[in-house]
Parts: sequence; structure tokens; C-alpha cells
Amino acid sequence: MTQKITDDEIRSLVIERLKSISDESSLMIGGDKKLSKSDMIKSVQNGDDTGKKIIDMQMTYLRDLASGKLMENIMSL
Amino acid sequence: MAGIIITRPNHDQITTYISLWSEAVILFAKTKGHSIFDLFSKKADRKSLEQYLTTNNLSFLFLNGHGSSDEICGYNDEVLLDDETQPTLILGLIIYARSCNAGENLGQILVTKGVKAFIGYTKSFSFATSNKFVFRPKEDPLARLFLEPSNLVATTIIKGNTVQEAHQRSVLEMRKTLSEMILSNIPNKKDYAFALYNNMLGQTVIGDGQAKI
Repeated sequence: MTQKITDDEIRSLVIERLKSISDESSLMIGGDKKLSKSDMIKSVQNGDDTGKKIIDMQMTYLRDLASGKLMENIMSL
Repeated sequence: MAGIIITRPNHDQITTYISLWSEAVILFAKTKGHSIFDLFSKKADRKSLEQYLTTNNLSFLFLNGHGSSDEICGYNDEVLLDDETQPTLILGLIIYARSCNAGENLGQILVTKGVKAFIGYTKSFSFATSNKFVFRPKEDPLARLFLEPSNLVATTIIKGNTVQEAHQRSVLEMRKTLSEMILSNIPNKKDYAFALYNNMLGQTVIGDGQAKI
């Protein structure tokens, strides 16, 4: 049986992943300002547009990593 | 030799980074003998761009700046290209837009208006930076992981390869870099693999993939 993951669970998962990022780095997402780790976490917590983008990027990566699609994409030439 | 325009606004940290990383493309184009029109900083405005497009024999337009599915911007986010752009200005050009989301909708509109081929992103173009290099962006090893593969799109076109080859070469470089990032024990590298993967999935070719300058 497949269990559906809730939006809150997704948000928590992404926040936990973001917590592991070094404080010495930032993410530049076009259209937004330079985002520190705490900016990213705050945006995901608030559910603003930047937070939604980060969730989408992280979940695409995690889903494709889990399904093997990411490795297929990397290995295919 | 082909005429090339490059827009390099620098009104915030994101545009400053991509503009500085574009210098390598300018140097490369000069070594190949191409005429380069560098619309740097405040010169990256719509009036200047349209003047250059009108008065020069151009084949490649490399745009750096913020964007959305409907527009590509220059200095202070002034719109440079959108659905109101005159077809005569862009007829027969190859365009590479290093900006967010323009591959979603605008790319197709521009191709319909007469652009030969468009490379852009259907998603947000993003990159990571190291805070230690904030005053030396071109030496930033974290930014390099993202901006070198995207520079490859422009340099491969400038070399005379097809648009499709430029896209493939860039994607291949992103794949290699992603493998290194995923397997890396250096925390920053691994942590931002999701962002490079997003760029790789989003990079797209619209129009004639066999076009070359």
C-alpha cells in the first residue's frame, strides 16, 4: 500500500535537509535575492513563492533519486 | 565572422555573479575573431539592445539577467525581450537566455516571431555561492559548478557547433558535475546537487536545433 505524504511532512523533510547546508554558503534563485540557509528555511516555513520553489526543487531531486530516474538522467548520454 | 551581443546587468548580487562569469565567454569569442557587443551594467537596457539589433549584422544574442515565463530583463529588471518585441529585430538570431523560466513560454513566442533557435530554462535558473568569495565571484568554487556548464552553451555555439550540440555539451557537463556533487564528501557540494539537477532538467532547446552561427 502506498502512503501519501502530507504537505506538512514534505515541508518538514525539506527543512531538515536545508538545516544540513553550511552557513558559509547561499543559494541564488533568479528573481529572488541571495538566500542564506536561514532565509531558505524561513521561506519554506512561511510557504511563500521562494519556499514553494525550493520545495519543488528539493522534492523533484529526492523523488528522482529514490526512483532511480536521477541516476538514469546522469548516466544516459 | 558572426556578430554577438551579450547583456550583462549587474544591479544585484545574482546579476553581478552571472555577468562576471560571462567575461570568460567574451574573451573566448574574441579569440575566435567574432565582433562582440557587450551591454554591461546600465547599458543592458532595452533602448541600447534594440539599437544594436537594428544596426549590426548579428547572429547570436546571449542574455544574462532575471526573467520569467514571459520576459527577459536587463539592468534594474527593465524588460529587454517580451511578446511585444518586433520580429524584425530578432529575425534569424540564435538566443541563449541565462535567466529563469523564459523557456516555458517566451522562447516559443520568439521562435514564432523569427528567432532561429532559443536555449533557455523552463524552471528557475539557480546557483550556489560560497560566502567567502562574495568579493571574488569569479574564483568561487561553488558557483563554478553551476556557471561553467551554462557558459558551455554559449562557448559551444560561438565555436560554430549547432544549438543542439551546445545544449548536449552543457547537459553532459552538468551530469558529470552532478555525479561529483552527489558522491562528494564536501558538504556544500552535496547539499546543492538539487539546484544543479533543477537547472539540468529545465534547460531546453526551442526551434531549429541544427542552427549555428
